[in-house]
Amino acid sequence: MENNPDMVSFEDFIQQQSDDFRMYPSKRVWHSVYNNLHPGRKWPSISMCIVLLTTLFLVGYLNTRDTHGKITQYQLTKNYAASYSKLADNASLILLNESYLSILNLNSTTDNLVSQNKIGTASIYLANLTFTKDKSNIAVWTTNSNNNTNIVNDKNLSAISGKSTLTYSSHSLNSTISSLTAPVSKTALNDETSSSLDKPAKASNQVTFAIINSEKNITEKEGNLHEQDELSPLINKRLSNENNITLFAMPAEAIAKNSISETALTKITISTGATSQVNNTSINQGEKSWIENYALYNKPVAKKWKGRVETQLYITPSVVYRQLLDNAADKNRGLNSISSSASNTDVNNRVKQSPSLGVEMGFNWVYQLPKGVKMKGGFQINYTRFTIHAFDNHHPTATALSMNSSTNNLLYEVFRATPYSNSVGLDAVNLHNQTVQLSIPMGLDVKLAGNDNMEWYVGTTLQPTYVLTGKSYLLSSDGRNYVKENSMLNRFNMNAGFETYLSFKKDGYTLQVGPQLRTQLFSTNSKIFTIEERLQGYGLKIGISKKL
Amino acid sequence: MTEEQMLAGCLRNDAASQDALYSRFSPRMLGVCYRFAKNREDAEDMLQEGFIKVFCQIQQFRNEGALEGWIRRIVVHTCINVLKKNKKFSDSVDIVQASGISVREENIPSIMQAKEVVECIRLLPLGYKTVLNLYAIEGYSHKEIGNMLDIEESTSRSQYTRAKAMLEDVLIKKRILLKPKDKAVTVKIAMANN
Repeated sequence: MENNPDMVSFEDFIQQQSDDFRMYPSKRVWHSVYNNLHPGRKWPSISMCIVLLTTLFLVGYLNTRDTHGKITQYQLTKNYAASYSKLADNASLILLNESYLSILNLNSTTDNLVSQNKIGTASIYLANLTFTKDKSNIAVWTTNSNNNTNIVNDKNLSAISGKSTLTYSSHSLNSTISSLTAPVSKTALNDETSSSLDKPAKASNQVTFAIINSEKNITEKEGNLHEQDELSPLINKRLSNENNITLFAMPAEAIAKNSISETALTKITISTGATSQVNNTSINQGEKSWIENYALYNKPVAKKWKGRVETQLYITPSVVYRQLLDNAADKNRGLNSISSSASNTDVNNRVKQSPSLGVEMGFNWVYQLPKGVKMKGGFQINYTRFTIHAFDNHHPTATALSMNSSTNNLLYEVFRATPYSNSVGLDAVNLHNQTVQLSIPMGLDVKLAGNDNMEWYVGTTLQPTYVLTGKSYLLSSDGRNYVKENSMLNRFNMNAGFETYLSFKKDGYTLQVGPQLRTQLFSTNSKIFTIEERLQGYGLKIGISKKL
Repeated sequence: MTEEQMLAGCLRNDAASQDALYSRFSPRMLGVCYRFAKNREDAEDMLQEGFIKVFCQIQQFRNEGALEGWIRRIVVHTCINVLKKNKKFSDSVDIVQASGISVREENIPSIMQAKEVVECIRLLPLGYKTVLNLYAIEGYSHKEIGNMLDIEESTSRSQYTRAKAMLEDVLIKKRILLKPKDKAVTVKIAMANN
């Protein structure tokens, strides 16, 4: 350093003062340095949240798995005896996969179909069905408006085998298209070719039944059926040699919901000969046992998530209040004078503040547990805002903020220049403490009451939160000034939400409306700042959900 | 943890040792950055960049001087590099006509304790403040400052002279300094609350 004899004392003085000057950086700085030096550990918190969420879903999944099987088995055992009466009302047959149909229509005017007690047009719908050896396929039986009893002969049954035999039936399809009673089916069959039979058509206007069992003669002949690739009487001959084919069916929708108490378990016998018929005979013990086993070991697995998981979108406009707590007020831990004298009164009474509007929006996955309990988790964006009434002096004034020492129980002060005054000033101004947060709400809803269309729930959530951005105006030690200090914002926080709502079901959607209280469990600012700020939001939650 | 243990740990990229070193030196280094920076946010950004350099270059420390001095030099150079990236800075260190600038009394911090001098330094124009920091506090010569800031040595001298005069004026207005006309005497006024 160059010497200037006249100013040595001045420079020494400046240097001494500056060397004594220390400031305590926010945690953000160390986190950034750390993340830069150890990039592999950059996102531990997000990873932990994802693991936690996944674990919650997994626990729910495993805890509900066995229950479904037992319920299904019980209901099947209990109700099958009452099921036969409904069979006589069914007029036509559709075999299809779970969601879509590929339809073959066989007109009763042809030789392919022989009906008994026929009143109107009878139809047989055979889907692109594949009977597998483990009997795990799902087929659906449907009724139309006609009170016909359908009987299928060997040619009709040949359609089961696949495209080659469906082609064989194309002429009769073209000629009988007008006889179909289901409008959707008509559309699907207009451009009849072999490939068009594979086109999906929704069975939206039909009552569907899942066929849960078939007898061996279909299963074991799968190979023979697929071997046929041309129009040949051989197919008929082979099938004609078989005995009756028996299917057991029940409403598919009831199975999906696992509530088949009101349904009929139906036995259908389709003859490969000219005298095929539908039987209302009782099920023997062997058949009953097979159905029970099938329901226990197969059905619940296939329908496990069906109808139990729903996605929910929601928005919650809210009014945000805040509560201040001065940790330095009752502790004289090293600071003399200013802060202690100013802290004799409640800090909430030393400031002028008013609530402001905030909003939360997000989406949840909701999983339905037994006994009206729902588990939920998702992602949410929060906007919190609070208004402080202050004054702008248009020039900076030095002031001090009280801080908790991280190494001992003492307080220290950091100094800032700010134009904002708490009590007097040139122009009145509103300052907004606000944050934008990303949170992962996880919680439970419990049903208190309700019927098929309306339900009443109470719920709670815990929301790990990351503050994306925000503004923070801090009250000075003497309570006279506000200092803008965004670096003091707590990046990680935790919120808790409590809500009650009514849900209304309409057209497959569920609308939820109800009040919500959301409270912030930790201070908005870092714990080294002595004045804690806790936010509470009172809002109205509006959500809409749909089952997957 | 001793300084040697911290150094050894940092050479192994040990997070605990890095944390200890950061905790020990970051408050003073943030004070250094704060004198150069426009606000606290900028100072923290400078500190962050400086400490990343410190940890990345720790193997270059030869134990030939104090560790704090070595860290301080890195941090100061980081601050200068950050400032040089800012166009306003390059404009401000060249302006000679800044001598007309004065600080109004009402803009001077009114609450003074041990850090009031730093707040007064920060009131100076950017170019003045930088040269004064480097010369009077960090101990660099005008020649070194000229090289660091890409300005003439004479410019550094004139900037410092004006910065010193302005700072004296501020400190005298705040009665931190008393400067009789016949000779320069620096007296620190005892604060009322000390």
